[in-house]
Amino acid sequence: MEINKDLIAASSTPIVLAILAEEDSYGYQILRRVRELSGGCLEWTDGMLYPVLHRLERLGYVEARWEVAESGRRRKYYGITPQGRAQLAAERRQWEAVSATLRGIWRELSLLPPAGVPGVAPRLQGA
Amino acid sequence: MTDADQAASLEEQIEQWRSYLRRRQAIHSVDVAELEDHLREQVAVLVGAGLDTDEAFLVAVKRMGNLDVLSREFAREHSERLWKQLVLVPSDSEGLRATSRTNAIVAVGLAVAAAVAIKLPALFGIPLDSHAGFSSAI
Repeated sequence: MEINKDLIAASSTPIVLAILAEEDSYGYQILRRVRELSGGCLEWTDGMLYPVLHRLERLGYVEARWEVAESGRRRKYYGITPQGRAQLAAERRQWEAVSATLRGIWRELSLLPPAGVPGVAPRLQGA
Repeated sequence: MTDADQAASLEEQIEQWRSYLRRRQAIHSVDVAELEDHLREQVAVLVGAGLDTDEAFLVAVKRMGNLDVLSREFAREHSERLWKQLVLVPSDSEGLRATSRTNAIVAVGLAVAAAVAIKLPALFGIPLDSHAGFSSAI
């Protein structure tokens, strides 16, 4: 299943912030975690993560620092700030509201008989 | 290819990729370093999974995404770099559009010039077909 670009873009902030709330990380590792968490459903183009990280940095939600990794290469690590945690909590409330709304309507729909079956009169709840 | 050859070839490919990225005004050298670290880790993981370094490099570059699109995203985020992107480095497609527009203008110009050239003798009262030499030579 492929998830459309708008949804991927909209969910990128809470996902990255939540991953960084687990622990400090860097680009490659964040992408690996996204793949792992989504079971491969959320396929980000690798490079596109970096402008997202830079935006979060500009907004003060994450802080970046350069460190020398085990490989001997310099690597840019990101960590969430208190402001980022507050933003994550706000995003989480919004996404839970959206998700609860959808769960509600999915449940209502599942009580109705499948549409378009010939010879079966639609039966409403309590009829 | 020996391991040393493969490593040298990879370094060469990364150097080319890096210099290609550096031409993008919207992507600063510090961002290039960050992307390069990503590319190298991806290559290492793929080589660990059994790919040749050449193959691993190609896959890693492809996963990084289209550089025009990426460069635009960087420009959007770092809007203070945007004007450079617009002024100095039109993306390839913009360059092509500009070229075809120029070509169209040249074509129209030539058509007008040709029409004028045909009509010019008539303007001076000289009908074209009165020049026997001109038509009989064809």
